[in-house]
Formats: sequence, C-alpha cells, structure tokens
Amino acid sequence: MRPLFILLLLAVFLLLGSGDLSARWPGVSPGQLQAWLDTADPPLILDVRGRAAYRAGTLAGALDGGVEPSGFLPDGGGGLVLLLPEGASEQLVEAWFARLTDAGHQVWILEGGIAGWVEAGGSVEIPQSTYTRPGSVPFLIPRGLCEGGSPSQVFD
Amino acid sequence: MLTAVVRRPVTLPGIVGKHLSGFDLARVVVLFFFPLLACSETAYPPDESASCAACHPRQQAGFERSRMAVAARTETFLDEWRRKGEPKACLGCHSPSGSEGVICTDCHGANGHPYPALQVPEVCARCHDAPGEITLQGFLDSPAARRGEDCLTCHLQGSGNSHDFRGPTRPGFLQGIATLRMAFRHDAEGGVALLQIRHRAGHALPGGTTGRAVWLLVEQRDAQERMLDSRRYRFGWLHSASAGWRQNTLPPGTGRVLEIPLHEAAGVIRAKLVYRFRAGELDEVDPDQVVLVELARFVPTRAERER
Repeated sequence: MRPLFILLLLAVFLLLGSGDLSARWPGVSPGQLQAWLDTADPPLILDVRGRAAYRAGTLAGALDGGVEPSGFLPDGGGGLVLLLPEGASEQLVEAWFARLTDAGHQVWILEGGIAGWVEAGGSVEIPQSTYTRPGSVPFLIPRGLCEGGSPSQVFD
Repeated sequence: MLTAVVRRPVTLPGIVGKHLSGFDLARVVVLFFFPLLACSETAYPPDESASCAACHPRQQAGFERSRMAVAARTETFLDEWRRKGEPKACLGCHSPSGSEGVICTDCHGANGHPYPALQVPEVCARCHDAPGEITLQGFLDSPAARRGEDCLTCHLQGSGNSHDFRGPTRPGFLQGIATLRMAFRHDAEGGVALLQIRHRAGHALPGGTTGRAVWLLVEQRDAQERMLDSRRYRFGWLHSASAGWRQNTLPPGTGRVLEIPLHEAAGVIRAKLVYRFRAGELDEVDPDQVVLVELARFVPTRAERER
C-alpha cells in the first residue's frame, strides 16, 4: 500500500512539474499574443523547438533560436515570447529565461505552444530560408511597372 | 485640360508693371473674379481646378505639395515611361484627366457640388491597387487595418480638410519606419546571424509600383576591418519573362527574418536598409534614395558566448 502511495505522489509531482509552465513563468495566451502583434510595439518571437519543427511551420516573423540556450546570443531589450517544444522541462525553460532576461528581454511563454496557437486560429508560415538574390536566374530586377508589357497584378 | 492650369498660381505675364488697357482689365476680371462668381453657383465651370482653388485655397495649396499632383511629371516616372515607349496605360493613374498629375475630380468625381463623401481606402484603391501595386491588398491584412487605421492616418496629417498628402518622397517621412535586429545562434552547424527586418508601414514595404525596392546590405569584416563577405538582398517586385511577376516585398507587421552564415573570422557584421525609388540595380544612381536604418554588431568570440 505504501509504495503505491509514494508512486502516486511522485506521479502527481511529475505532472505538476511538466504541465503548466505558466504557473511559474509568465505566459501569454494565443489571443493576447495576436493582439500584441498588432500593436506598434510587437514582441520578438523566439522559436526554440529545433530546426525541423521551425522549418515545418512557425509563427510569422519568428526567429529560430536553436535548442541550446547557451548557443543563442540575444540582441537584448523588449518583449519576447518563447515558443517552446512540447513537454519542455523546467530546467530548459529556466535556462532560456536566464539567458534572455540577462540580456534585457522581458520574457513570456506562448501558452499551449504551436498547437494552442493553431487551435486558436493563428496562422503558421513556412519560414523562407533563402531570398532571391539580385541578378539570379530566373528573376531579374524589373525596370519598372511596364516591364515586358505585363502588369504584376491586374486590377480587379 | 492637360494644361498648366492647375498646379501653379495664375500669373499675368505682360500685365504687371504696365498701365492696364481695357482689354487687360477684362482679362483680370475674367481670370480673378470669374472663379469666385462661379463658386456661388452649383454649375461647375469648365476649368474645374481653378475653381476648386478659388473656394478651397488651403486644400489646393496642400495638394500641390503632394507627389500625386505631379505624378506624371516626376523624373522617376518619366524615365520609366519613356523607356517603355510612353504607354498610355500608365497615364490612367499618373494623369487620369490628362493633367500633369492627379486633379480634384479624379478622386471626387466630375458631377459637381455637392460631392459625395469619399470612402477610404476604396477611393485610393483605384490607383494603389492597380497593375504594379498591391498597396491596398497588403493594407487589408495588416496590423494597421486591425487597429482601425486607414491610409490617411499616415499619409494625410494635419487639421481639418487638409489635402497635404505625404509619402516616402517627403523629407523625414521614412524616418524611423524600419527596424533591424540582430541575434546570433551557434550550434553544430556553425554560427548564424539572425537578422529581423520590421517596419511600421500599414502595407508592404515598399509601397508604390514595381520599380521601387528596399535593399538590405550585409557585410562581414574581420578584426582588421577586411571584408570577408558582402551580400545584397532586394525586397520589391521581381520579374521574369518566363515566370512573370513575383511579389517579394516586406510584409507589414511580421516583417522578414534572414539567416546569414557567419564567416569563421568575422569580427563585426554590419547591415543597412536602403529605400530606393528608381528601378534597377543598387549601383545605379538614385538621388532620392533614403537609408532607413543601419546596424553593426561585434560577433562574439567563443569565450564571450560561453560567459
């Protein structure tokens, strides 16, 4: 009976520890973040879920901070919202907070992560890893609106 | 209509400093007082712009300071237009009524008083969502639109019925419009500079037609200031004879993020954002170009990173 009780207690602690991170760190709901992004002073979004997850789809304008807090050097200052991997440990979250707040950021966690964002109707984009460099083929720098006699967009 | 009527104050060459003959006096009466008389009636005189100025001098004076008033006369436009064989289609927006730019009735309609209230942004869309522009489309899905702002919030400042429309050619208009941020990421694949470009425009940057562009220049130098790597990125419209047009402007709100691999000897990285009006390469002279923002950061050493 006693080992079972200890096991249950341990399970409760584990659940509490890995569950609601925003109980210990400040969080921002998807709705709050959407409203914040529409202000004149929007936060920086730092995606720390790893390269593959970032490339598969992230919040528009998010930076890929990698997975190691020690490998990221912030630019400092302003509000920052962390997009964490699912099931991130407290130690990892603490390390990210320490890294970012030391650099001068005010940090929030996106509650519900990417799944919560999508569920709340937020859009996700595939980040563009490369940009067309001038002079590259096939796209050229246009000489103006009437290039080739074809308008870029037909007025509807 | 094409005439010179509109944009400059009426002058009376040959009259000033002379004794006025009966004929001259008649000219003065017609030129100066007819618009005022006409103003008191609902019928609209043929020279509508002169009459607008007679009753709305402040609005007319304000509008004359705008680029719209000379949209068909600017060097940037004329260069592009002549190079393309002076197509008439361009004049649909640059000179809708055959003047040297936009005139009152182009927006307010030609039905005379009382003019209907204009709907913004719809009235702007006629030209700013025309071929070569998606300014309005970009605005509709922007933070500015969601905040309840419209075109006039930025482009028409001033009290009352000001018509002093402002755009990027107005000195100081672009000041503080864009921000650059730079962070670094180091992992097993090496070091990367993460560069974020954001801007406060309520539409994609640059707005306006396909010739305009925002250029990003990024340089990496070593500790002795020797150039290690130099890159240029162009945000604007791209064109291909086979693939057509591709929109590559900076979207409002979220902006763009670029990842630039760090040279192993890089000591400093500098970035500069430049707004250009003239079509073509960055090396071509554009006397009106504006540096929006510049940024320099020292690349941290391994010891500094691990601190």
